[in-house]
Amino acid sequence: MENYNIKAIKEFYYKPEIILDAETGKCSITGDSYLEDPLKFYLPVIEWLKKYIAEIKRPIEFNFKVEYFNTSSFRSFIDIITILKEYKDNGGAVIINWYVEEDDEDLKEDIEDFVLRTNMEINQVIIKPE
Amino acid sequence: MTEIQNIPGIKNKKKRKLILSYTGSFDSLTRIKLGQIITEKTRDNPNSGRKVFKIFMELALNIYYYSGDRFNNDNDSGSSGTGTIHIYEESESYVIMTENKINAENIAHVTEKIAKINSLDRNGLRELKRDMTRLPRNTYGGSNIGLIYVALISAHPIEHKVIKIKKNYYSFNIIVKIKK
Repeated sequence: MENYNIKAIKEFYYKPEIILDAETGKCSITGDSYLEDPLKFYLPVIEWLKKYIAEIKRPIEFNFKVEYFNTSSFRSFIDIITILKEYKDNGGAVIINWYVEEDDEDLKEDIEDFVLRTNMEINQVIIKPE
Repeated sequence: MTEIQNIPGIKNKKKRKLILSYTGSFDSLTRIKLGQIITEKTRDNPNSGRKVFKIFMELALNIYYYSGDRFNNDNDSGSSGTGTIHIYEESESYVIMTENKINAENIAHVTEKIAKINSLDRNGLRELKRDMTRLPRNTYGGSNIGLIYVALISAHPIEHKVIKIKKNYYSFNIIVKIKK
């Protein structure tokens, strides 16, 4: 199974960087996500995860390093977290980390809402503001 | 276009400073450039500046998707909604105002949505946000939770005004306050 990588394009579209590593199971979304069509942008991520879960069946560590995102992206993140939750419910080993600056109370609340919406545990990794 | 002085929430002109004013297409490049300006202009207040940026991006995307005035892009990427945004800095807050054209048929839906949002406390808004994500996305692939998110981030009611400009078209104004 191949890795899936997309480089961030902040200058024009606020597209985040995506790294999905089939060998290590380490995945990340890094950067801002202000997309006009996040459904289309994140579809390959969804498909990659489904394939990994069906074929590789090893642990997944998914790291969200996303501070800014629009609400359409919010919904796509729910789709991703829901797939990971289903994998965990079926015996898969899954860790989700979300990196958040210690004073960003709005993002902390968003993360809580992801947890309440999906019933999936998400670790808040607190980072110092730049 | 609506005169700024006539919009509720904007009363004391002397105590406010205009930090951004723009009218035109809200295509992706424009949104990014305006976002960079907002980041720069709110640098002294990073927490509230972050809120201004987040709310701007959500409202700007609303205009891009839903404005009744459209601008055809040159690069085959469809059309972008056009509208106006003003951002003011006051002594204790920032004020974001947007204006765009809206079709008459959409007014009831959006004003009812704002009334519902303004009737809820924070926990009610968060519950509504989560519930709305269980519904199908709208026609444009949008989230259906943009204005809820704006209310949560601003922690203030959303003010709005609808002004008839011609048959079947109205000027739709939103005013959002963010405490510093």
